[in-house]
Amino acid sequence: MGSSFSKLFSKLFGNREMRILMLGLDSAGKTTILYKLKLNKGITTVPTVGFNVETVTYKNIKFNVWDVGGQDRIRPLWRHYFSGTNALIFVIDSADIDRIEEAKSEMYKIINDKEMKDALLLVFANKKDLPNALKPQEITRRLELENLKDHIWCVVASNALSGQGLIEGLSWISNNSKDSGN
Amino acid sequence: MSDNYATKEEIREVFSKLQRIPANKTCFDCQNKNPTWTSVPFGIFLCLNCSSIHRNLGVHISFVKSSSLDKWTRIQLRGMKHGGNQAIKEYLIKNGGSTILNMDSKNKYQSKLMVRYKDELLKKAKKDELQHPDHVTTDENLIDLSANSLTDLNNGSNLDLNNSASSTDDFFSNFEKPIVSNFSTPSSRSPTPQPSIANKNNNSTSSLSLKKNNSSSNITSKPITTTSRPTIRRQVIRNSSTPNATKKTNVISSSNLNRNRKLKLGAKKLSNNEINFDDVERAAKKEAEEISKLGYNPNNDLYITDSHSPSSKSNAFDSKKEYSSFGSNSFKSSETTNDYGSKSYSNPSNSVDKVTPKFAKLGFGMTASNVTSSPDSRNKPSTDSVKYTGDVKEKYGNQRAISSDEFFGRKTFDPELQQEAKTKLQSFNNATSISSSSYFGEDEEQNNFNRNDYGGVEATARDIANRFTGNANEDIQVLKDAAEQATQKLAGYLRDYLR
Repeated sequence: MGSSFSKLFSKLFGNREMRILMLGLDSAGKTTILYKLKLNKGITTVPTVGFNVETVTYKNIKFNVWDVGGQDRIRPLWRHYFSGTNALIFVIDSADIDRIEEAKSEMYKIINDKEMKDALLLVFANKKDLPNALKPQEITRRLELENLKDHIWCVVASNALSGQGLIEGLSWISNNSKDSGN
Repeated sequence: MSDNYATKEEIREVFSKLQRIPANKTCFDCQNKNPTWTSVPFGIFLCLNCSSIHRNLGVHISFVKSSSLDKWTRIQLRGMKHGGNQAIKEYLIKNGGSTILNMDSKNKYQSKLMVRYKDELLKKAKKDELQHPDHVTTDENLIDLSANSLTDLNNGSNLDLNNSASSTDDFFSNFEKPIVSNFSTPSSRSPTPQPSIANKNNNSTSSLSLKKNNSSSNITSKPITTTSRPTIRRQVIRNSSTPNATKKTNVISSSNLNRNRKLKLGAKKLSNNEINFDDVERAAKKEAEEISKLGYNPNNDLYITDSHSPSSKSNAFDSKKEYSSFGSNSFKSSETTNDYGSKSYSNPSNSVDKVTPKFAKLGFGMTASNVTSSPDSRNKPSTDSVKYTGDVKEKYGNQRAISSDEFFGRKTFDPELQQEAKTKLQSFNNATSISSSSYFGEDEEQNNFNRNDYGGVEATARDIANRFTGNANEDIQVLKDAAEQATQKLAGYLRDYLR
């Protein structure tokens, strides 16, 4: 009972913190999303070698967003960022149809890791403004999320440059997250 | 498929060689030194800053990879091998697109010429794949080619000049030589019955042999052949009785990968008139007149053949339009597929117009349909080029309707389930977001029961709080602060406890 009260209070008044890991193939738009959230500017990014981390406050939740470079060779380093992650944002270039399959295999590699088993999965179908960008529905099907029952997932179409869909994604995370204490 | 990845060693080997080439030591866009990033479809080297511009273009235009941090498929490596900063520059200059080099990136990489180069590079890579299916060769040719390109330009063009000036007959015999040798090698090599594959093989092997020939003995032969290419090809096609003949021409046209471009430029301008005339006379006296008109500007020959590529026969009118638009140099605005032709050459557009339909008739259609894709496919029947577009279609068009399971032959679940999933997904047709809870409906609700419960409590609590705030704002503020502190402590305690 006490704990539930504390949860209630912390939900009401406290600043929750969430650790969010943002991954995806190279040039999917992770860094652009991060800085759009942080600075509300669509900046021109260079390929991330290493990682960026920013704290984004939305509602009363502090999101510590880790954005790790997506180049092939540095993908093995992703797992070092897994522990303590509340939510995974997996960014997909929805116009990069050739590499959807690659993205899918990378995504399943991440969420099947035992350190990520409790993490929410938010998929940004990014670059939705591009011609022949796939619809979120199609992305859902390509990623076989229909069969993914052990994670709570959400696919949001986004445009990192204009910011469409980003807030929607964050609010989905905040609505579906368990409380930070756990 | 092209999806087999190259090993680390292979990648390192290829790039260490490629990056030794002088042209690849500066960024293609901005001249920064020692670029390590690449645009895969164009096969060019870029610095980190410029790679960001390319990334912003979208993968349908340019796709950026790191030469050191990324995995590469073999086919991509092959593309890099045949590409390089020098090759694309030469290609642009050869085709009159040197202005493109100074355009801003967005227009630069969407210009028709660049798109065409992209296709040609892909073709070359595929050809290379047929040739060396098991590994990416970083053969000596590669380095030799680019290393020699400058010296060859000098020597080659000089020699060429002398040669062409002194004896045109000689030239013709020279011209014959590489063809014969080329033809003999591939035919022995590739007994494949399938015509298209055989051709590809022939081309690739023969192009190699050509290179060898050139580097060793007759440097002159190549530029000459290339300069005379249009006319001779025409001739052969006209006579096109034997597949061999077309093959030959094919070899000629496809062989000029890297250095030829420069050679051509140098060689053509000075020598082409005579050569062309000669060939033309031999080839077809009727057309000779027409060609001689063009012959003054050798580049025009190339252009015209190129410009009619996509739809040579029917599009004489289109091409006229293009030419008019060319005058204004508007690469951006020219939307017709044929617009390479425009290239801002100062043609007297009248003569071009006159000539164009004839060229079309001459069976340049063969070259025409293939120009967009690659020179080596010139002798293929035009259906091949249709096939090519079919490929693309399959990738981008139809594939939408093919599920990944079907596509990759995986049978993780049976079609009924799939159907069910599909119909389920249908309901999200225009949704911008799909979440698991909305997707799975009720079951999820049960799972979320607790959470929802809290949600309700929260809402009522907020209601109550709001009511109070109306009356005693300050009080509630104090209370809130206190509560906040308390909760933080409590939460901290609980956190510790739960851990």
